[in-house]
Order: sequence, then structure tokens, then C-alpha cells
Amino acid sequence: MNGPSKDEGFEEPGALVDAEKKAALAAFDGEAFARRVRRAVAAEPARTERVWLRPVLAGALATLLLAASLAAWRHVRNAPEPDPAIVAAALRGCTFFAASEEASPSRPRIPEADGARAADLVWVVQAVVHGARRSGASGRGGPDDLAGTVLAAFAGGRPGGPVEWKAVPSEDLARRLGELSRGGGLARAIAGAS
Amino acid sequence: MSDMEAARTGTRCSEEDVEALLEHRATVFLVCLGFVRNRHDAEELAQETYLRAWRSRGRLREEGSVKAWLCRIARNACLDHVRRTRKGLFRPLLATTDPPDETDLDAELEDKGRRIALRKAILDLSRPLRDVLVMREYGELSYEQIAGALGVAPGTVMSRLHRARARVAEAVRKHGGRP
Repeated sequence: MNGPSKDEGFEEPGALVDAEKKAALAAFDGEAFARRVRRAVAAEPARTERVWLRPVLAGALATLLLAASLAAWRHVRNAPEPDPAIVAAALRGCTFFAASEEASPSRPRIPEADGARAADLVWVVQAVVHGARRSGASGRGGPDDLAGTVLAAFAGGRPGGPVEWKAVPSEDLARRLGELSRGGGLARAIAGAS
Repeated sequence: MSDMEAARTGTRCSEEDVEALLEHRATVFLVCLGFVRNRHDAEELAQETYLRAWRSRGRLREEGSVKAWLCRIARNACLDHVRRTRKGLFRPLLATTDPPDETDLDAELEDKGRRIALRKAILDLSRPLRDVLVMREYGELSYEQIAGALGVAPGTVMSRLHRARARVAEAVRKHGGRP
């Protein structure tokens, strides 16, 4: 079954095919062809390595992109809405609990609403929301714990010493933050309260 | 390790690996010729076939026949060539083949006519029939090797080959040897 058996009636086309093959092979320089193939194959290893390297690089890049996307998603998910009204309200709330004492190197000064930089305002909101969420997620602690968490988060991003508990803000603010965090709409509620 | 085994491993570059594949270069060339009907293109595509085979030689361990594996790569290379160039599958035979040696004008014309009829008959075949006919008549593969290369049953290969031969023979017979 390894040879080309001809069906009955295919003798004439078969002979034409055989003649064509014979003529083609007579003109086919097999050795020259083999040399070309050997040269081409010899030039292949570097290319082969690149072919193998390509998916590795693509995988690494995809991993980096995935990690960056995940980090960005987490940041967006945890970040407050950049609404000026929300920022202003949060700023007033933070000013409320931090204004009981004068600012010192160990206790950051709350930026004034009018003159504050946008980055500061966003940072204040992030500190409040982050602290409230942490407190709400823990499900324990009283108003002072919540307020302390908020204040610790607030002061954590600035140079200075540890937070002094005697500077914990009022229970009203702590209760309010706790309620807001449990409701899941801290920023919206602050904006509404303003 | 034999040449074949070396080629099958596909994990190292050695002269033996290349030589094992090059044993079938005439078959690969003829299969390409059967598909593209042009000697120059057939040589180019045969070389392309070997490069493709070399790059994917790791898959050879799953193949039953090196020859059939090469013919399948050759067929795919030819189909890609046709798509790439957006040309017909076959070029005019007379313009691309060497003139016959016969000095007798009548014999030459008769031969030309029959070859044109053959070319047209193969051209008119559907792709499944043409694949089988070219691999059998030009590549001289066995039914089992064609079946493995095309992914069909040997019985299917036999029935397709029978139909392809019948249609080609009928076309050549109708032509009657007149150009």
C-alpha cells in the first residue's frame, strides 16, 4: 500500500503525472536545496529562542498589567468620590474633631477649606473614609476607638509622633462616623449632611 | 539515537535532525509542485515547509510518519501561499514548465493538450479531492499516511482518491489528446 497504485482508467493521467514529476525532479537540484535548508535552519536557533521568549515576556507583561489593574481597582474602590461638596464636608468634619487643640508637629494642621490644595483635601477624605471603614469592618470598639482609628489614619500619613488619645474628638463625631460607615455611604452621607 | 528519534525529540539542533528531515525533500518538493504547479514556487514553498517543520519539530513526537507530517505542512504552506498571493491555485502550466524534448510538433502539441487537460481537471477538483490526489500521486503517500496527514479515515482517503482519479481520467479522456 506504499506505492501509488493506479485505479483502472487512470493510466493516462497517471502517466502524465509521472512524466511531470520526472521532469521536475530532473530539474530539481536536491543538494543545492538541502544546502539552503541547512543554512536557513542554522540561522533559526536565535529566532527559536525569541519565539520561546516571546510568550514568557508576554506573560510577565500581562502579570504586571493585571497587578497594576488590581491595584488601581482597589484604589478606586477604596477612594472617595472626588466631589468638591464631599471634600468640603469631610474637611469640616475633620476640622471639627481636630480643632480642639492647636496643631503641633506631632499633630497635623487641618488645611483650610479655601486655601487647601486639592491633594490635601483628597488625602483628608481618604483618611476619614479609611478610618471609618476600618472601624466599621472591625465591628468592635466604642466611639473612642472609632475616632482614634480615624485620627490615627489621619495622622499616619504625616511626619510626627503617635496619636494622643486625649485628643480624641467628640463622641458625636465618632458616633456619626460609625453610623455612616455601617451604612456604606459615608461620602454620600457627609455630602448630604453638609 | 537514530536520525528519526533525534528529529522526533525536537529539543536540540543537530545536523542529524536536519538530515533526517531532508531525506524527504524530493517528496516535499513534488507535493508543493502538485499544489502550486510552478517549479520555482514549489522550491520556495518546500524550503518554507522545512523551516516550519523545524520550528515545530517538538510536535513530531506525536506524529506517526515524518513524511506524512512534512506533506501536511507542505500542503498548509501551499494553501497559505495561495491565500497570501490571492492568485488561483494553479498557474498556466505551459508557461511554467520546461518544454518537452520531442522535436515532433504533432507529438508536442498533443502532449501539451493532454497536460492542459490534466491541469484543468485537477483544478476543477474540490479541495478534499485535490488534497488526496496530490498527496497520493505527487507525494506517493500511502492511504494511511494521507489519512494521518489530513485527519480522516483511510476509507475516506480511498473513496476520495477513487472519485478524484475518475474525474481527472474522464476529463483527460474527453479531451482526446487534442490541445
